[in-house]
Amino acid sequence: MDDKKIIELFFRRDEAALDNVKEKYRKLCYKVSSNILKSEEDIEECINDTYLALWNSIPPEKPKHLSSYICRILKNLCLNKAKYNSAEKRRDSFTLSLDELSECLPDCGTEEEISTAELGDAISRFLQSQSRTSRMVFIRRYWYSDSVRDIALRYSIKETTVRSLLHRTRKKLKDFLMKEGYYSE
Amino acid sequence: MNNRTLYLAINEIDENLILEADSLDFEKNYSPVLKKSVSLAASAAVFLVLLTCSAIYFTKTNKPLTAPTTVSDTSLQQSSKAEPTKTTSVTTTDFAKSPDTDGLAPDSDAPDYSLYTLTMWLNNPDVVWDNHSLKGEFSIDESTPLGTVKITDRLKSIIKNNGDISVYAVLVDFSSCVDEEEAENWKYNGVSVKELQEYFERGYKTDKDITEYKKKLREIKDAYNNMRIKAFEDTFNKFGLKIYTFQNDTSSFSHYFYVFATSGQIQNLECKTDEAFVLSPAAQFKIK
Repeated sequence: MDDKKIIELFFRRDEAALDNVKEKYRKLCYKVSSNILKSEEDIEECINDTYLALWNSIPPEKPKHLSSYICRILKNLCLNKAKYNSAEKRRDSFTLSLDELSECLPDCGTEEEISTAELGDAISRFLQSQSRTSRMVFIRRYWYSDSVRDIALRYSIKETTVRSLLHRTRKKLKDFLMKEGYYSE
Repeated sequence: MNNRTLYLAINEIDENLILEADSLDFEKNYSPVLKKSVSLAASAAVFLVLLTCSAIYFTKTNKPLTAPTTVSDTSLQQSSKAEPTKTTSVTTTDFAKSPDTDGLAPDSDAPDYSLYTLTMWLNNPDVVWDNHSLKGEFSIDESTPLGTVKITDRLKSIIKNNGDISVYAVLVDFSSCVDEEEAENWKYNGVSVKELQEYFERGYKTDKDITEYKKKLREIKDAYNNMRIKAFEDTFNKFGLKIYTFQNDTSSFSHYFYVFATSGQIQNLECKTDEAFVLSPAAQFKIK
């Protein structure tokens, strides 16, 4: 069933909407959440919470792209679940990708409250100004939380190329955010 | 702000960017050479084999820059000494031309390389290749307006160092005259890249699906590239140049081919108003 029809079912409060979402996006949800969480129990919980969040948010929300809408909700839930600051800090792909993002921050960061939506808009503008190659690799790494190896396999390029592209884009992002006034060194 | 804030902000980026990254069609702006990742060991092995073959061939024939047997009258040295009949160039380059070897014009006594095979060129020790890539990756990220031919600085520099009587292995990138939208909608066996992508992007797929998708995508893109390259033959044949292509895992996703040309041919190459080419030096080890 296409996304438009699924959303119509949500609007009609027909529970078949959730059945169709599960059928169509279950694997995607699992892939996205397992990039962030390791515990099967946590993954299952986040996926189920995502279905519930979908049911509660549509309507009034009417997502243009259902797959990215689902992933966005799921990722936020997974991130809350991930005990990044716990003593049992894992060196998995997600944790490493989070560490890598520190390179985009100044050495002495300010602790101002920044709206993630506003910052997200700025990052979108930055990514739009980058080459398709750079932004796709960046998004695979930091939005989809894919491992460097998976990205290399996906696009048939070397892991060193992926690392190099990511490094350059992070550096540019840092410069961009400083220029935009999000922080100063 | 900390990295977690940044991560949450990245989660809020434009949906279109997210969808774009979910596509497997990564290659639009990606340089052809960069994509053709070859392990250093494999490259070295290929290079050594080619060197050996070249040495054997060269020893047997003792005729540099001459195709074996039937084409001895089309030696590249002869071609480079052909009388210039045209001196204008449509390149965007300020490349310094040699006054006595100005290259070949469309109506000149152009050499006939039609009997040369890619293997012959590869085995010819006197062809000038780019060796830059042996030390790392080298990418072409240049474009040129329709109706023009651009010579990259690197090719200009190599020609300057090797003179006018050499033959250069040239990678010709024609992405500048590819309308990506038209390419995406171009149908092969009734299916376009766009239709294939739309079908594929409906939900998550298994590894097998991805493999099958990539195979089909490659088929369409290969067919599109072949169709375009075929149409360029006239332009290059006029200058005595033969187009060479080869397939590898990533060639389908780029727009390029190879020619072997003297500096004169390179500098004088002209294209039609709906064509555009960026000429850069080709790396021998990347052709396998």
